Amino acid sequence: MNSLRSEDDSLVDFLRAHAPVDSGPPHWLEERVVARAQMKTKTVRLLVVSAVAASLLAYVGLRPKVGLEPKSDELRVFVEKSWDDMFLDEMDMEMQQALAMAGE
Amino acid sequence: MLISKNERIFRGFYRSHVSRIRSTLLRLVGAENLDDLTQEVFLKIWKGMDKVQSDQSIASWIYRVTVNVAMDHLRTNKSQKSRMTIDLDAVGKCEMEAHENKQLVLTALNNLDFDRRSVLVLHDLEQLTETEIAEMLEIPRGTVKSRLFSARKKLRSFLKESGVSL
Repeated sequence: MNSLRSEDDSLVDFLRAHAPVDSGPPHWLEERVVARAQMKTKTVRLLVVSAVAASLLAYVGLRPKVGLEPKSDELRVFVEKSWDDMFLDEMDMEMQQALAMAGE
Repeated sequence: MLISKNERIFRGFYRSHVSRIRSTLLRLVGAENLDDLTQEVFLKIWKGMDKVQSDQSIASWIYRVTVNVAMDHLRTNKSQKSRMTIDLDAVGKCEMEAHENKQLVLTALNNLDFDRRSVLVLHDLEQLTETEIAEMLEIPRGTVKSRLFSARKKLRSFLKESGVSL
């Protein structure tokens, strides 16, 4: 047991004495790291702002145009009506819940 | 205590930990891509630094992030034969024998699979305890012990075959 322990000690001593150690980062690395971190934060903020803006637009009834518009008028009316019904029903429910909570 | 996420604190964090992180990465994956991997580690640190709860958990968390980045790197570069080498410029005026021993240690580490290598590097070189490593890598302490035992056995045999008397 003791000899195993000392074998381990010798190995660890050798590893510690000869393990590679970094000679230091290049001088530009700190600025690069900070710039990339800030960029990441800005991207996240932009995504959050976009999501909030999209929600607000949807709330006031302006929805973004989608690329695939139905070609026939009948179909377009049907799609818009279904979308409005679904959206307005949801709005009504939310309004009712908010009023109930406010004790109206 | 949460660490607030601002540039000044982040720079302080970088300056305090960059050497240790780079040395750990160097021992886990070699000198190639060291700058890129260091950036990856710090971006992950930036992303999570406001969630760290205490000073005590910072060191352990930094090691965890570093090991994960090294592991992801090796996983994505699996097809390329990983070859750990020393940057000759970094060796500078070191004696040739010392350089040979350094290269020998790197080659010996490279001969271990990542699971054993990471445990050996964290325990024998970074001097973390078995309990800390077990918590960090989310494995039982017994597994840490057995990986350390077999890693040392393999290293000892490799070094003896290479003419090193321990």
